[in-house]
Amino acid sequence: MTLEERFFALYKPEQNRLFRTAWAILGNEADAGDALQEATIRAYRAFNQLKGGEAAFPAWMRRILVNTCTQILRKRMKVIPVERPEDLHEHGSTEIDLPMEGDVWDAVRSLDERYRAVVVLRFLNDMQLEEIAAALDIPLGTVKSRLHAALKQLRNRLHAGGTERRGAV
Amino acid sequence: MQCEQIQRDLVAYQAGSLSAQERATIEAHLSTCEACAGEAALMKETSELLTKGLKDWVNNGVCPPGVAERIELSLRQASGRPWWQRWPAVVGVVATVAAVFIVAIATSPEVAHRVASVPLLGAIAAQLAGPELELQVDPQKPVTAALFKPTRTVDLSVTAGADGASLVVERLSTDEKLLRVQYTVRGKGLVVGSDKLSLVPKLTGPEGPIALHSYTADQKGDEIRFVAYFDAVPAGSTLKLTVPLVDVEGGGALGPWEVSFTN
Repeated sequence: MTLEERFFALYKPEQNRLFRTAWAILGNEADAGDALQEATIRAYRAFNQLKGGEAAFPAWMRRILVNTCTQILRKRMKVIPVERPEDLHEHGSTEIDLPMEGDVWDAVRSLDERYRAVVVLRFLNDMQLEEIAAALDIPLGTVKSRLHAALKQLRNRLHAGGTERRGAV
Repeated sequence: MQCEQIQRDLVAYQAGSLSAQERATIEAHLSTCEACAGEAALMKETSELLTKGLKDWVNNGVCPPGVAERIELSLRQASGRPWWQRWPAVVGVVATVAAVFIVAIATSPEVAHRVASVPLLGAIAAQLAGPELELQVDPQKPVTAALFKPTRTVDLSVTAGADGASLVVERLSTDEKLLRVQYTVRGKGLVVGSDKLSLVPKLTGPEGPIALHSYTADQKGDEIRFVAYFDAVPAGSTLKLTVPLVDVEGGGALGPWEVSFTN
């Protein structure tokens, strides 16, 4: 089996999850496809540096993808102005505009990019707040305030959906 | 500590990002403040819902076939890197020998063909003089100048676009199976870039699109020279070539262009 075949045999079963991970971080499918392509090539070129054998591949590949995505986000976020405290409050007031199906991804994708990114990195990728701050090149305090604001927006929406579902049974 | 401050720190507390002292302060407050304890429970429940919901969504996804194909193609191309890129130590020696051929190769594909027929040196020279960008639709069966022996050539000078951004189709060559189209785009600040799929040309004949086998792009100042290989078409056919947008240094793009000519 060639190096390429070995890599592909490990990569292919992860591809669907990896694509959606990139989509969740970047917020759209087109950028997710580009990021996954770039991450796959990076991973292939670094394949001989993979430690821990084949079992370590999924986490290793996901880490390369998340790094690729956060690099893209960093560039993108440079053009988004830094939020002021009143922006956080203002953003919270959009809760009532969210759709009410109770679906987690629908709720998360409705968030502003700054909030969606920290939510996804924290709750999907289990990253520590300090890691998120470093990955997005923002202060730790900003990560905390964004997560706090995002959770406040999300919780009514998610709990409302859960209540509706429970009520319907 | 005020309830507002405690509630603001709950995210960090639940993520395990606080010092032992900060954690103790929050825990002491939560044991005596019903409102903050309720807020903490709600936040924990929301966090768990998010984790489960996002992971379920990721685990049930499908990568679009177009993206999967694109990745597979780029992986094949990455694995087919020339040996001299992987073994840089030999580059110096090889470069000295092969440099003799580079100028000749750059002049025309016919010269490339003759040089490529020289055992070993031809292959080395071809590697070193390789184009800046090359797309082989089927990397298992690469189509290059060295494998192409034209039996018929038509010189053209068909132009599309203005002086600031133009496309010129210069030559069509045909062998038994393939049609080679040589064309150049010119415009201030044009850059080849690295995305092989962004510059793929389209050729349309009387009976519809003609299959592309490969293309190469080489930058010479403000112009980019392309050589594309398609399925052969009968002599006298009217063809339409479409060249997509080309990036410009510092942002923006020029094109696209479309031009018709007769084979």
